[in-house]
Parts: sequence; C-alpha cells; structure tokens
Amino acid sequence: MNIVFAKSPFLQPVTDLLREMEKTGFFSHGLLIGSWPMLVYSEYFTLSYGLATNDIDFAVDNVVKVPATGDETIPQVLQRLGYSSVMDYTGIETFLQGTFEVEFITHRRGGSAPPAVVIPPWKVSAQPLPFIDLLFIRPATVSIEDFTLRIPSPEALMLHKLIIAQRRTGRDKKLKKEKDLQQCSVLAEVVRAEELMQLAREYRLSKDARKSLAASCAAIGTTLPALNDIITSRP
Amino acid sequence: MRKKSRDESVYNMLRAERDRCALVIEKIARELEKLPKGSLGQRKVKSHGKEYIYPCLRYRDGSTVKFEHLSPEQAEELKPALERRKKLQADLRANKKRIATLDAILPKG
Repeated sequence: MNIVFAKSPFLQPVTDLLREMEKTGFFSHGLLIGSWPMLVYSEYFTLSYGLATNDIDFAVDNVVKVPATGDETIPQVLQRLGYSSVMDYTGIETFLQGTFEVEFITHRRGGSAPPAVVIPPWKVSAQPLPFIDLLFIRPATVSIEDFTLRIPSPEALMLHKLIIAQRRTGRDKKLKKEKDLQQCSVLAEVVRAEELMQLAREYRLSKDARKSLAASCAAIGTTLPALNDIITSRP
Repeated sequence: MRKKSRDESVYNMLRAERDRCALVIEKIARELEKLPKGSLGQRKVKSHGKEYIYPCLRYRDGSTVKFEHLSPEQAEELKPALERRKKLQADLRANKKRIATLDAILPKG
C-alpha cells in the first residue's frame, strides 16, 4: 500500500522528527507505530479517528546488518532536535522533548529477554516486546512532502492490536486496552479480508494468540468473517 | 429528561494521555535528582585593593541562596549537566501544563 500526502497530517515537531529519521535510513528497517499510523489512516480513508497521544513509538527490526545512511546515529539526531535521553532503572531509553516522548521497540522472541537491546546500525536502545514482527509484514509506505516513511498495514495493525489488547500490563492497562479496541473498531471499516487471512496464515498465530483475538473481537462486536475464520482455523 | 450522550472513548484517550504525562513527570523527576542544582555565575571579590572574579555555582537551599566557588575547570565540567537540568525542567513544566489542560477537559470524579 502506498499513501501520498501533499501536506503532512502530523504536527510540525513530529513531521520534523520523521524527516530527520528518514535521513538516517531508519525506515528501511523501521516503522512508525503506536497511535500515529491511525492518524495517517483516518486522513487517508476519512475515518472518524484522529486522536494521537504525544508518545511516538518506532518499531525496529532487530536482525539488521545494514550500513546506516548519514553520519549521525539516532540518539545524535534526536539530541540535535532537542530531545533529552532519559534511561530508567531497567535500562529502557526514552527521548523527551516537551510533552513528546520517543521510544523504540523491537520484536521479542520467546518468553524472556533483557529489558532493552541496542540495535545496530543506529545505536538505539529498544525495548523487546512480543508480536512486533507481525507489524513488519507488508507495511504501508507513506510519502509526505519530501520524505517517505513506513507504517504497519491496516490489517497488521488491527491484528496486532486485537492480540495485545488482551495482554496489556501495568497500571494503565485498562485505558490502553480500550484505546486498542477503539482503534480496531475503526480499522474494521477498511481492512481487506483477504490480506487479514493471508497475514494470519503467514504469521501462524498460536492458540493463545487466537484466544486473545477472539476475546477482542467479542469485546468490539466485530462480525468480520475473515477474523472468524482466523479464530476458528487450526494453528 | 434527555440525557446527553458522550463518547467515552475520547475521554479514555485523554485519560491515557494524562497518565502518560504523569509517568513522564516521574521519569524527569528521577533524572533531576541525579543532576546538580543551580546555575553558573561569577563572584567578584575585592582583596588588597584588587578585584578578583571567580566562577561560582548559585543554588537555593531552603530560603537562602548559596554560592559555591568553583575552579574554571569545575565550572566547565558542570555546564552540560546544568544545561540538561534546565532543559528537563522545561520539559517538566510542559508536562505539568498538559496535565492541567487535560484535567480541565476531563469530567471530575
């Protein structure tokens, strides 16, 4: 899927950040995730969902052995843009600028992993979380003004959110779950059934993941036959 | 009586954003604890008819303002940490302001 915008749908500081990130070559192996892709899809498909929080999450592929474009690492780029790096006690790095908070996430294989891993070639510390690799299957390309970025496809984003909504942890899990499900209800209007099925086939969802999917579908009351087929099919 | 309907999802999104800002404030507060307080300045000292200028660190301790003499090297070393503190304090204010704005929008209780 290719999306072209003549004018950026993002706030100016976010547009500036994305433009600079593209210069490092990040989007060849990285994606803009979180609630910002929803802003892209609401604009592109004219959906009634235009809310985005000020946390800007990026997913990064952890198996990259590619040379970075440009001389700067991502922490250097962020520092140049006025972001301060703050490391919490578990080693997770966050970049702060005013009310904006930038974090990097990578795929976690298996049950346990260190709280953060450094991703070459951008020398950025990322938090490993499960199901992130799902977002990298056939992502959408978004061209804005003079730069291009990548976001998960609506189908991958929906499938991901349907699964993780049931697995949220932490003190804000209830609100995050509701937000995930709200986004899924909106995406249900535009997802392609065939692509959903194809994704589920390729990703080989586990029994637990299917259970989460079923619980989320029931919660939002979606009647998409493709989702029903995924839930009831054998892993 | 007709009841006003309201989209709770929008409010929940705003609540999530308020909680996120509160977490950012906690992160910044933890970081600020590690950084030196105050600002760099200069003090003039007159002695034996001559005037000497020393770099110093000015900081508030309760109700008093304290001055700590520094060597030029110490002052140079402190500069980045003090600048970082200033920047983080501005971020802290921005997040507090956003929470106040969200609290004003969100229904009480």
